[in-house]
Amino acid sequence: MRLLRAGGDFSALRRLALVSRKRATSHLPGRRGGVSTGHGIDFADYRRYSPGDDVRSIDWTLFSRLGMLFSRAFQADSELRVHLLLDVSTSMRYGEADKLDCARRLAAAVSWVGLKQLDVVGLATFSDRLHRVLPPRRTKEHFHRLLAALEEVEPRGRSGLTRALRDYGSRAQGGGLAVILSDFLSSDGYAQGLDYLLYRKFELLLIQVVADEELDPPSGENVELEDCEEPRLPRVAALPEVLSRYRENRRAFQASLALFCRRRHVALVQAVTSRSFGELVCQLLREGVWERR
Amino acid sequence: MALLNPAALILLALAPVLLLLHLDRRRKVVHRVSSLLLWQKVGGDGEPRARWRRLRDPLVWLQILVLVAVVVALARPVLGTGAGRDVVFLFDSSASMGALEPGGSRFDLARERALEILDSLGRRDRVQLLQAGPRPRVVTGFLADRPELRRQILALEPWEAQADLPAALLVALSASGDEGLVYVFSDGAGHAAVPPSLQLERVRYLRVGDASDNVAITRLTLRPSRQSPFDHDLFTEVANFAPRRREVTLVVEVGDRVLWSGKLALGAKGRQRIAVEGSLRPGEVVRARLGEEDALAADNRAYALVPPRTAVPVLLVTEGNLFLEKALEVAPSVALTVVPPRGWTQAWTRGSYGVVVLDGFEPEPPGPMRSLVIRPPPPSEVAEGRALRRPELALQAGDHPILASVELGEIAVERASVLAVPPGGRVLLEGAGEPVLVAWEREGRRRVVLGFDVQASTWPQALSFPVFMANTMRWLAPGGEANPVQLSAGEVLEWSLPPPFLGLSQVTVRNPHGSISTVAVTGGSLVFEDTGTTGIYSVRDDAFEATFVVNLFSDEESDIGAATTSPPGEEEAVSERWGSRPVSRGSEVSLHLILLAVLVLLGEWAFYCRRSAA
Repeated sequence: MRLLRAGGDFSALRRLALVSRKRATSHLPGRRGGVSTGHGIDFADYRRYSPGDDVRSIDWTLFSRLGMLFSRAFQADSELRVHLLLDVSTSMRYGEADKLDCARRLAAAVSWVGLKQLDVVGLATFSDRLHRVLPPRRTKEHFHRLLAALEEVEPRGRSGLTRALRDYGSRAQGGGLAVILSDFLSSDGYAQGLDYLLYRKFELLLIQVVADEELDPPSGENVELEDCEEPRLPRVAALPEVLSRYRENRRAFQASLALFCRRRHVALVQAVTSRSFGELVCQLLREGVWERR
Repeated sequence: MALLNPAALILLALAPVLLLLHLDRRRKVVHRVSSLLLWQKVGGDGEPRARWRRLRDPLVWLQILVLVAVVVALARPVLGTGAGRDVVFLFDSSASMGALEPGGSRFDLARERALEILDSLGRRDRVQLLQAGPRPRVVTGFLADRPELRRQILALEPWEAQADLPAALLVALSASGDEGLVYVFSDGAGHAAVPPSLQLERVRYLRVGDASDNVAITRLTLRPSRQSPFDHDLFTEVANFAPRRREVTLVVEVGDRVLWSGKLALGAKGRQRIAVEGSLRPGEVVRARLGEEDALAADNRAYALVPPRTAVPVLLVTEGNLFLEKALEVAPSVALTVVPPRGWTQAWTRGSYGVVVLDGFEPEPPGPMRSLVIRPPPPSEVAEGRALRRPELALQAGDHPILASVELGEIAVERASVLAVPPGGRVLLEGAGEPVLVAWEREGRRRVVLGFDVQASTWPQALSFPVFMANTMRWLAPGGEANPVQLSAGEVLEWSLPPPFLGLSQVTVRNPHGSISTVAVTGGSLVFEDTGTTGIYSVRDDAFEATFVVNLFSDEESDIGAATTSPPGEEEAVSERWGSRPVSRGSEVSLHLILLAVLVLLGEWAFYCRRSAA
């Protein structure tokens, strides 16, 4: 995590900004177009001048043409509330290139980009419940707190998206962009938790962290697979035909998650742990998670 | 194909164990995955199927193939044995086989050799056990049951008697058939030489033992002293069969009384005789023993029994016949009582007589006695009623004991009755072609009928008459003479019980080792064959008791260093002759199987290495 703290890897992210399909709803000023008008640089509309309006906003050209006073209304720049939801269940500690490692580097990158764009960024870690919650802030110290929190993360507990996301959705105020970094392999499924966040007006960005070993698991006559979260579960022999059916299940699961996201206009990105950080950044850029400014 | 050691096949039970080890081997590679969520949807029967899939592993079957090859090799398969052969194991069980050798007795060595050969025979070969003792003894029929044969071989014991090996070999050859094989386990000593006609290629001699250090008591006899009717003369002979000088101590004793004791210096192959005179009572047993031990213990002791004095009570019923009375009085072991016919009933009911002589008289009914009937009055069961005048007598059965040493010569008979021959009867004497002297035995009772009056003939004046009477008494009551009380080992005891004990149906015989056997008595006679052990035997019933002794007294058996079986019959020489003939063992393929197992093992190892590298 020294790389995160040094920030050297993030230098290429300076010109990037998180893409949000919704207008920012915060009343605090930022660099994003908000839903309200005010001081900004983007022209929004004309409206009749009312006494008390800033005389600098009167469009004199229009007055010369129409003989009526109109004020120019600009779209007010607003901040984006970014909620980083990091899955720290035991299943994230998997793969030669650790899934959790990959996830928190991405979380750090997203927070870096968000804070650079004057967004407020918060962090919550969860497994089958919420563990640690850092409310969204925009200060430089907050970024360091975020990095420290990401460094201190230890995998624990079982995956339980529904309860954890419900808890967080009911606790967080003001909506915003919820970036969920998880493998979404939860025994209680992912749909209910995500739907609840959507219900709570969150815009969702799902970053599915996948280890190479999950896409190409080991097999053999003597290989038995054990659930790292539930060692007491019966082991599964990794026979070739079992492996074949696992791949089918994997494809079906992936297709199901993609369909879920497509129907709800939720962005979904699959981050494979074997890819380098740069590749992952490019992938996120390519898939529209963030944009150049 | 046959298996020499089929018991090894039990090791095939390791094959399932090997399979189980493969099915449930502990060396599993456990791989932890993030979640079994997507795996569990595959189905929960992965583990059982995985177990059975392990059986598809060629290594499993290669290892089982190695195991099977090794086990079958241990079972010693033999190819081409066919139906097996009949093999006879003939054990020389003579006294010399009890001689001690460094590895045990000669018989022990013979047993070991026999067991070795038994193990080397084909599974289908059948083996019969024979013992060559005084008489051939068939121990078992032809058996293929190896454990039973081993048990029987281990239970065999030698006798302390001389063996008739040629007779036993003849039995063995007859039993084994033309293609059978006879193994003779012998020390080559003691028995008569095997005739060349029995020295066949299919007879294999296995000689055991070569000790020769033996001193023996070869004679111990008693006879009444000529000087005193109360004393006996005792003769003892001790022989040294060792090829070196020996000095031994001889002790001759009766009970606790030592008759003679002293040291004897015997040169190589030398003998010494000792004569001792002593006062002995009938029934006493004289024991002679050597003080030093040697290779053969059976001839280091000897026994002699002072014979009991017995006489047969004979009842003569006659109106008066001086010739008969005198002839019976001079007959040995006869205690004569003479009564007239009118005193018959009283004499018979009060007395106990072994033989009755009826002169011109026959009671009604004849009675269950042994009798000599002279001139039976008609009607009689043997007298036809016809008479012959001055018949010329002729012997018809000169081999009969009654006519032994009887020379009739010219005997004139005034008148003779023609006799009817009863079933089983034998005509001993004919007059003019008609039977005049008949003898028979029925239900243990012997009868002799003479068809003419001896007083009306010249026979009493001839020498043959008292001989005839003595023979007749001896034949009618064999127990009247002293039964033999001193036998050679293996000799058959034939006793006739004295008259008071004629009704006995059985007696018990206790041998020197203390084992008791019951012997049937038929018509007052008993026959006892099991005299293979030297020592003192006692015969008894509730009211009857007698003793006899058995000694080895065989120079051939005591000369344990001599071999009468010639070397050409021994195993080495014979085995060469058998080299070109098919023997029962066939060809073992154990070595081939072991080589196959090694090759498969190497292949399995190579396969494993290649797969591991992949």
